[in-house]
Amino acid sequence: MATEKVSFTLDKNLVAEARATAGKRGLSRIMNDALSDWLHGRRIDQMLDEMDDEAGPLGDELVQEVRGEWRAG
Amino acid sequence: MARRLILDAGAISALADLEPRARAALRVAREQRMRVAAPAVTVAETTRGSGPKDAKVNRVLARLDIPASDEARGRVAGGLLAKPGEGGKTIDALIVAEALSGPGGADILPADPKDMRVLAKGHPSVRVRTLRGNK
Repeated sequence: MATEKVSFTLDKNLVAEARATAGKRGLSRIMNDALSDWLHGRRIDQMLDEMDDEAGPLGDELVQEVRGEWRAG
Repeated sequence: MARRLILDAGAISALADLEPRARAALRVAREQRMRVAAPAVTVAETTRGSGPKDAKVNRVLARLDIPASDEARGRVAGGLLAKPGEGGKTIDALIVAEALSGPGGADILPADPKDMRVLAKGHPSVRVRTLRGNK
């Protein structure tokens, strides 16, 4: 994986807590994972929105049904 | 690490065809902050080159994680197929192997859960969902 050094301005308390937990090298990994998760979620949300636009929105009942099945195991 | 949802070819096709149940499953996966992945074997099953026929599938694949196949996954899949009484397909075994590869556990969303459930039996970190509902 190619990497790039970047500079962020973050909440001081959050950084302190993250550093204490993960160490200096771990902070980059945490930031990378968080950014990766955020971008991934955004891509999926965009696709779901596109699908809603094309096929009409999903019924709440169906989503509730799937949610219930997954909760049940 | 976030729990993952692993899609097989049937799930990719269902999403490409905008099937409501597949879309609902993806929405629930997002609610649960899961990462959604299609193993390379699923890509092989759902694409046939770079022509326009693949366009609907490519739109879905472009949004997913595509983990690389490797020897470790291949060997895990082989081990799954070697279980006594197991007559599963290699493709299904590779999908279950992918589900077993991450530290956070995974759900699998296959078009037909029957064979996948047999392969995943005895692995509590893997849950096999269904596109058809439990009715």
